[in-house]
Amino acid sequence: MTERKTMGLVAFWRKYERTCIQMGTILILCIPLIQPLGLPIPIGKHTRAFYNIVDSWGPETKLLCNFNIGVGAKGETTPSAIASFIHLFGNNVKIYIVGFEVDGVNVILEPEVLKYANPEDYGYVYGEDWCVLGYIPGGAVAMQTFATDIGFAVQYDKYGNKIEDLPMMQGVNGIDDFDYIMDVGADWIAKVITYWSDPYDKPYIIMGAAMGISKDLEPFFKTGQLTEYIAGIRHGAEYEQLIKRPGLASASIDCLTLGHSWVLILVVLSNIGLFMKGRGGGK
Amino acid sequence: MMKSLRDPTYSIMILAVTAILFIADFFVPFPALSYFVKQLGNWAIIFAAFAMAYGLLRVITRNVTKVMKPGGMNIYSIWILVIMLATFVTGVLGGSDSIIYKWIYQNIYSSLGATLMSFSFLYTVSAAVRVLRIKSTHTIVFSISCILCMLADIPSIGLVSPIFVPIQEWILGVASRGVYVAMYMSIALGMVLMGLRTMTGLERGWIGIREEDQ
Repeated sequence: MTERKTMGLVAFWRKYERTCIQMGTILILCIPLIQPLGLPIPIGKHTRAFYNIVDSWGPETKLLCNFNIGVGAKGETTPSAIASFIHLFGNNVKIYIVGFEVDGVNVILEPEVLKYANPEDYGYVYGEDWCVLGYIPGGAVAMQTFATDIGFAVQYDKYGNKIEDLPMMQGVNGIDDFDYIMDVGADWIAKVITYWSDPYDKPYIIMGAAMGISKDLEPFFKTGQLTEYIAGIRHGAEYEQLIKRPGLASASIDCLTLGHSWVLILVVLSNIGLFMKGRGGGK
Repeated sequence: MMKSLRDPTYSIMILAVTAILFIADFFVPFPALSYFVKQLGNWAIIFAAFAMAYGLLRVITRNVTKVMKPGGMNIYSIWILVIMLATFVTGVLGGSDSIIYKWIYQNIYSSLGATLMSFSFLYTVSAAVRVLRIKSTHTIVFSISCILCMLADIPSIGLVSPIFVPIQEWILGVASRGVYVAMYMSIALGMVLMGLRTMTGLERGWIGIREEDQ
């Protein structure tokens, strides 16, 4: 009877394995939504180094922010972006925002980032302390043109103002006139390094890369082409802790912890089951 | 006798000359050349915009053809046409800052994009369980490396034990770094080779000539 019951369970599992795994995943991820766990997280070295770099900037720093978040990855990248912008505004850094993908600057910047990190709350004046140069179509060609002649690449900012009329654009004609390059969303890392940071020898940091491509950033980091980066919800939560402004990332950490732990438990159980099946001689 | 304008030779010549100009501009600091290359870049951006308009037309014609086919209405084609035209018309008439356009983008497109990415996690979990089964020597190394890296990715793991993060850094920064660098170099060399083949006319797939037709 017990053997029949076990065979029934095994047959059920074999038939509905994927469904059971996915249902279990959904249930596990619902737990922190119902009851937040408040799990602590230690601060990693990348986040701390990134924080120290941004903290060293001041009102004389000109930062070019390449804002290329896609709608698919915005859930993972916008919390880091919000925390970074809060930190930047707190240090009175001059910020020039530009985008080469249509989603980032046009759709995500205002409702998803600036809504939570409002520059006006920090006394920022548009055109003097921050500006949005808008979306520039053309991909790599547009980036090359932007690097040497900003006025040639874009004539009007996102809000219809002439670029040359913005006070903070006086004397800023190309990549050479910026102090740092910051990339939000790391999909364009190869292009930024090829056309901007390497030719002009500008420090390049990434804020808010998706965790899935953070492993691709390590080779660039090891060679020094990428000065520092923060990637994923986890680094975003660590960054929020450092600036003492817990937000979306900190609220998501419980889900991240349980999700990862669940996958590991499944992998271990799966291998135990496989091992026992092998010892049983395939019965 | 002048060849027909549809002869691929002209397309290849235009591509080769343009490519040589861009490459020369990268290495030779000549102001007149830089200005001309920048103008060419602007033309490329305009052509890309035109290509988008052409793509829009193609999507419309293909889906209208599907809808007009006898044997039942294709609901998906109808939906594509409806939502595409709604977004296009509101964008053209009201601009990207119009309320309706923003509503479509933020409440439909943005939400659906995030939902699709979230779905991928469910399939990633079930795929990970299958892929990380230890069945041979290679899979032992593969699975153990993945498990150690996943352990380090758990945010609170540093409080349990501090050894996992350095192990992950070693795996990513030392053990797999060589593979990554080799992969990127191979991709770069492949791109250079493909570029040279395209410039010299050996590669003609981009103008619709298949290799078997050459």
